[in-house]
Amino acid sequence: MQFVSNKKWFLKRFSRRSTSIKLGYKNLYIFPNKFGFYWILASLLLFILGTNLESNITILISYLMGVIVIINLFLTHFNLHGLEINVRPQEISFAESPIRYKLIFKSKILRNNILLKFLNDNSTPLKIERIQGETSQFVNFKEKQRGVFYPELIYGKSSSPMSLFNCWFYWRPKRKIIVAPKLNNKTNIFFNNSNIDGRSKSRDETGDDFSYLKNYRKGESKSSIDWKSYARTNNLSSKEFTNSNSDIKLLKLNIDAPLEEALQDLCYQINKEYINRSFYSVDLQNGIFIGISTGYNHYRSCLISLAKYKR
Amino acid sequence: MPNISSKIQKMKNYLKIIFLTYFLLSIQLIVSNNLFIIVIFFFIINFYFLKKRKEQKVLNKITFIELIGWFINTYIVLLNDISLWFLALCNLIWLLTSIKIIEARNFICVKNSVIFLFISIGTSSLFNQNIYFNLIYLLSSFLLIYSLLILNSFEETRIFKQLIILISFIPLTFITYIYLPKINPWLNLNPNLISQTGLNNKLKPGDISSLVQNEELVGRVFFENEIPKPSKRYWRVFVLDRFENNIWYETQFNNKIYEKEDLISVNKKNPELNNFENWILEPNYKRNLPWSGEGYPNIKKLDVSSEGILLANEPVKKKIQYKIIKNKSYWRNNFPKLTDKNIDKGQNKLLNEIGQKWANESSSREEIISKAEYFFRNNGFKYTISPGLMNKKNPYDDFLFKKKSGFCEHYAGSFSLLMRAANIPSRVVVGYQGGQILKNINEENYLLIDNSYAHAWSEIWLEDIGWKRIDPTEWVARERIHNSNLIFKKKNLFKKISGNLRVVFYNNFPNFEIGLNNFLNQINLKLNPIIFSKNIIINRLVTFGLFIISLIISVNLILFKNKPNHNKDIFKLSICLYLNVLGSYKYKIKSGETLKHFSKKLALEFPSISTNIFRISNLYNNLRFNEPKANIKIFSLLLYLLALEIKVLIYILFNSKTST
Repeated sequence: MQFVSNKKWFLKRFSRRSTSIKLGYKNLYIFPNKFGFYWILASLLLFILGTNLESNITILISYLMGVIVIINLFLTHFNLHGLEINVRPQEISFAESPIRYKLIFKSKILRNNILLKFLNDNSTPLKIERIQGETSQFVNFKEKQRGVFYPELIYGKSSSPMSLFNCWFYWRPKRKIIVAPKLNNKTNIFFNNSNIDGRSKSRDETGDDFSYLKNYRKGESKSSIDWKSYARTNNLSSKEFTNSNSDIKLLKLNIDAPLEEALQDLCYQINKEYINRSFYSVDLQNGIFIGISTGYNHYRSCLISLAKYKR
Repeated sequence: MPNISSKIQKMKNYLKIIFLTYFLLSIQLIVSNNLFIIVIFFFIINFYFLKKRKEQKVLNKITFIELIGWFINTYIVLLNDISLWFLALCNLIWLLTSIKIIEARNFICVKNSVIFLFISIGTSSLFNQNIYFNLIYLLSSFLLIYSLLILNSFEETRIFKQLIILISFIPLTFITYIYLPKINPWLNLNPNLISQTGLNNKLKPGDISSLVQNEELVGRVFFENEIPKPSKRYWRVFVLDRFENNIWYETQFNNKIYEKEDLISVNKKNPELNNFENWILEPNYKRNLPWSGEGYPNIKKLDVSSEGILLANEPVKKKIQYKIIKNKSYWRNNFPKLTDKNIDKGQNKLLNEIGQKWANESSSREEIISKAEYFFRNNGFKYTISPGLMNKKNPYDDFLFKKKSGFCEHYAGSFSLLMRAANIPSRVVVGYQGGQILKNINEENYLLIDNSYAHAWSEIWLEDIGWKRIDPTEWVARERIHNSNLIFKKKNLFKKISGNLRVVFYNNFPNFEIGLNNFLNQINLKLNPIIFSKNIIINRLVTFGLFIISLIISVNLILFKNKPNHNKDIFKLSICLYLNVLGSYKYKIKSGETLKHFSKKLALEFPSISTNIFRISNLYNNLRFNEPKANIKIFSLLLYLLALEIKVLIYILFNSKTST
């Protein structure tokens, strides 16, 4: 549907933003795709030949093809009909690195082969082969510069089960994309592996020291389980760590350096302190000061400030 | 990387199915003799190209060369017979399909090969209405649909669901086929364009000798009594009574002489004559049907003309079956028409002279005939399939007095002309003589007649007898008539294999005698007249409603499997039905009571089936509250549960009845 993507009248139609969408008759569109058109033409050709040369089998095959078209019309539509997509506050992305926009899908029934992408975006589209229940998925978005943006129109499509029809929808999600200043490569790699709640999957790499073992409780990260002791005792125990870098730090924006470079440096520092679970405050020098704290929320508010920062 | 490998695997599976369909299509196209020689060659070569991946440039070259080849072959074919243009077009489609398959092998326009295969299947079904081919077409169509499901990775691991999808298309297709109003052909596509070979309503020297080299099946004849002797196996198709410019023509036949009711009443009076021949005729795209000329047909659509021609209402485009109830051939007594005496005195002068000479010298018609017989027997005539070309102006003079070697049409044509010259009305009859005796699976003998048995003979008018058959070929080649010995029949290996295969099919699958095409016609004829109301609009609306209901059922059937715990729902449904039926026999489950507890109570009442009752309870609890397992296993367990329920219910039903 790229041919209408830049038209103003088209974009106006989907100007309303929302945090969730439930796909139904009002927001789903369906039309035969190129292969579907060929299929219908082939069916018509066989019908004309079968009728004019009076061959029942040819007519039957053309009807079979016709029936497949009709049934597929419904199957393709119902593959998307009733699917609910939600969007929650987004994970922070970094400039000049691919952005992943998180969507939460809710489906009571099993659905197959759904494709999602942002309109006017060349990133690899998200392909979901099977959805049932509640799952979260990330749609790729092209790299952006620092800032806070509303995402583009999302285009979702399905042609399951026989790709005769394209059933599609457009949706303008409400949650903004926050792009913090660029990180250096080393940290960048590390952060791509991080969870949204800020807990590191591999605590051992953070530099924290192992303290003692305690009984594992439900809800605790599985990465904290001490598998060696489990093998020995058959009881699940989790490792507890102590933070060795618990000093309070004040991070300041370097006014003398070029703005973007200074912001990148500061962003790297904040990131480092967050990983080290330190207490830190941030001074952006133009009256914006973020008080001492630690944890994901603090880290997030610091990075949002950096993303929005204007001198 | 597992994603890429699964994609490759998916593509491989898709291609496997496509290749299988292509293979089936190729085999049936080659066997059915509809492919041009060069296209057969390309088909075989293209199988070789499927082995390895090719570059786009190589593909372009292959396409170009094959299209040029097709063009040259088509040009040659159309120069000989322009009426084969449709077959040539279809050959092009089949060749393009073959090329598309190579493209798909190289991952170019992968899906389009499915469309091409569908068109190829549809077009080849125009030519072959044989049940075996029909079944291959249907199988291939479903394979293609299945290939699309695989390509779109739809429920790869759930074969059961894929099967449901494939099956769900069938009822709706049949409803559409049966109840959708039929449209009459509107294009003037002459059905004769379709690879017709067979007898014609005109005859010139050389026509039959070229036809007999084609071994296309004409039909099969079963007999109530014994198969007639070879010399009696004459099957008439055309009567040619008009002779112009050295060509025998058929005059218009419209006047049928006998009403069937009269014939039937005659037959009832003579029950000993109630003996028949049963024909299964392949489509010949003509109104004329072969028959012995003795009796009358049992189908209303067939009539007998005054010349003794069996005529259908319309050209035979589908395989048909008809019986000829043996009776006296009344058409033999019809007086000759003017055309039966017509002779062109400007041509074949020598022939006319000798005919007149015999007439002058003889006192009776029988004497003239015996002179003719003597003439043919004692003048060194030879029976040959390749007599060479005759003189254009006087072909029959050339044959009788110079070359003296010819095929049946030469003998029949010249004899009829000789008789006309001797003032005896005569005509040429074209049809088949002989047939191969074969046995079907029920050990019934039948005659298989193919084009190699095509024959021409004469009929002369004798006032006291009527039209009498005289076959001058018999005087020259006795073996041909008395032993059905076709000396010219030299089968090549391919024809031998395909011919034998055909005979094996016919003999071993007698239930499919009349192809699926006719079967569909019969279904159509039987189900189409079922009307729901006298009002056409209501009738149409009901039909439409039926269509919608089946559509809803089909779509829901497919989507039902997408619902969570759908299997558990089925178990719940089955157990609810079981409990409801038990409830109607005063064994009601109390609210809040578990199935296990209820089963215990029931087992106490019916100790002899207590094991089955407990089995139901345990099975249900296991299936409903445990993790779902493989679909096929669940399905078989569901069947087992249902069987147990039915067994218990029947026992209780029987037991409670006897106790009351």
